[in-house]
Amino acid sequence: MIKDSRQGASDCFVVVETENPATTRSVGACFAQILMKNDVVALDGDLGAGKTCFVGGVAKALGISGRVTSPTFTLVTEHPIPRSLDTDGEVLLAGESRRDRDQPNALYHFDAYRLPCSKAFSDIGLMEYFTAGGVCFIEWAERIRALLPSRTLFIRLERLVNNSILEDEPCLVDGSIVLPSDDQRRRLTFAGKATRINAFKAALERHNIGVVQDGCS
Amino acid sequence: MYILGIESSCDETAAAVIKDGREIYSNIIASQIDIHKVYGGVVPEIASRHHLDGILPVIYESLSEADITLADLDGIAVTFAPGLVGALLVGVASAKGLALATGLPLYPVHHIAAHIAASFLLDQAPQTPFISLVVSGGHSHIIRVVSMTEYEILGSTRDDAAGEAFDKVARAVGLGYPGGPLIDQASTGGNPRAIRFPETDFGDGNFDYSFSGVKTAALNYLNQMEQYRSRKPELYEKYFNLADFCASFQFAITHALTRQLMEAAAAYPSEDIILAGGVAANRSLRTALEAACMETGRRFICPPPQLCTDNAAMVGALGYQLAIAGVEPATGRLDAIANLPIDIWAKNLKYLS
Repeated sequence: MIKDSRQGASDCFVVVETENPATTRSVGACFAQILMKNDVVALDGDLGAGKTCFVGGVAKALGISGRVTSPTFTLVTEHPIPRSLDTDGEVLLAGESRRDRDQPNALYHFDAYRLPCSKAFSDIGLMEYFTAGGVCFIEWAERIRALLPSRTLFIRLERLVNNSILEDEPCLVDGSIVLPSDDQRRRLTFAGKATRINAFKAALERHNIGVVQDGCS
Repeated sequence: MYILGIESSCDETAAAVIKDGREIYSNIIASQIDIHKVYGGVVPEIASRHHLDGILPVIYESLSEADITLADLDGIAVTFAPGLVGALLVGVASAKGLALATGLPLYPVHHIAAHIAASFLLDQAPQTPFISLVVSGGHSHIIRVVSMTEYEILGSTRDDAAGEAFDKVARAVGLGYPGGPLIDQASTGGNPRAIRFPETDFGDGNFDYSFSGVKTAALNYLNQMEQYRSRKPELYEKYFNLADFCASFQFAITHALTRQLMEAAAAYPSEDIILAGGVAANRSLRTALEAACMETGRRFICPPPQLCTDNAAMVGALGYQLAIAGVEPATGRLDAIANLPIDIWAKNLKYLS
């Protein structure tokens, strides 16, 4: 791999930990502040890791009022970002704004969970969204890794406690197995170009969200 | 009044002729379910291509089975939102072409509202206002139907739809697609109390659903069982039984759906309860709601399974309701919309003309 010598092009990462879905959404809101038109964001993590929850936090911070639900069924959900007001108070259509030319006009929320291979993703024409002027969040992005552009920002969500590796026997009450509620803590790892990760770290700092680990390769 | 209904929002290409919004003259469905089984769900591009192949034959067949011609029709109703845009477009373009060629009025139908309107095809039609629970692969909504052109969303899912939770868990347990009917089948003889799943409750006055927690608990449990199977087979034998698991998972979903619906409906004690959408075909959900309605002295209405899954008869039924409500027919500008809440659709019906 040829490395770009410019600092802005080298790959960096930052790790944060969240206590519950609400704090995962707050980190999403922070992440929303660094988004630019045509960003592609790859989200990976097990079922129930909090991918949809994170995107919900991003969407709210972008001013999207509709609810963000799992796009597994539809493969892609489109959320237009509301029109912005310019200084004269004149309402401009998304994409028409003079001041916000680099602001995304929509959040496109994908889910590659059901796709058998990356070819299915491109066959359906979903890659057209990557340059449609919005921001693309792709759940289960590892299934379409080969299609992701080099500018992609990567987010991995993991449980801090792995519930599945329980040596104990299940908890029995009155003969029923009682399943525990999911441990809500998550570790979120963000990776991408240094300029973007640094911008995100600055946003985290502004919101007093602590960084567990960071670095550059 | 004869209405031709056209439906292509997901994996069924369907057309139907309905008389006076009540009587089914024909109800033709070309299902793609076998094609999409390979993918564990619908793949939009494949669906669009099959809709394209199927739409005209299905329309012809619906007319011929009803034994009428285009000249006998009084209107056309088509599902234009919400759904997969590529799939919806096939129905919308066909309907627009037909309307243009025949001069018939075209009614823009909302898919969820159509599921609700399916209950008008029963002998005992509901009286508005009523409360409906619409559950399918992509939707879980509690909707108060003030009239067929006025809707109030009382609750909806915050994360996964009920059908989606069924699909994901069925896939994890190796049953395949579609998850709902397969889990229903596998639960036969199982003990619904064998496993207790955590419940999500958002607190007072909120009737939203969340199925993410139940889904995650199910998957965590299955992971644990998988580890037992390889390392402690005696514990796997002791703690895993497919029928019990399926019955308990189904009970958890059914219980949450029933509880929230009945709580939401409590403010409207005299109104009927209508169950609609693909998941309404689930036996345990029907039984639980029937019992809950009987307990509270309400009338419970649920169309038979073939009218719960996607079909065009319900589209024709709603088309009639729109026509008699005086909704202005849509123009050639009508376009498919992927995302459109039912209340927003109803409020904007006049702008579609």
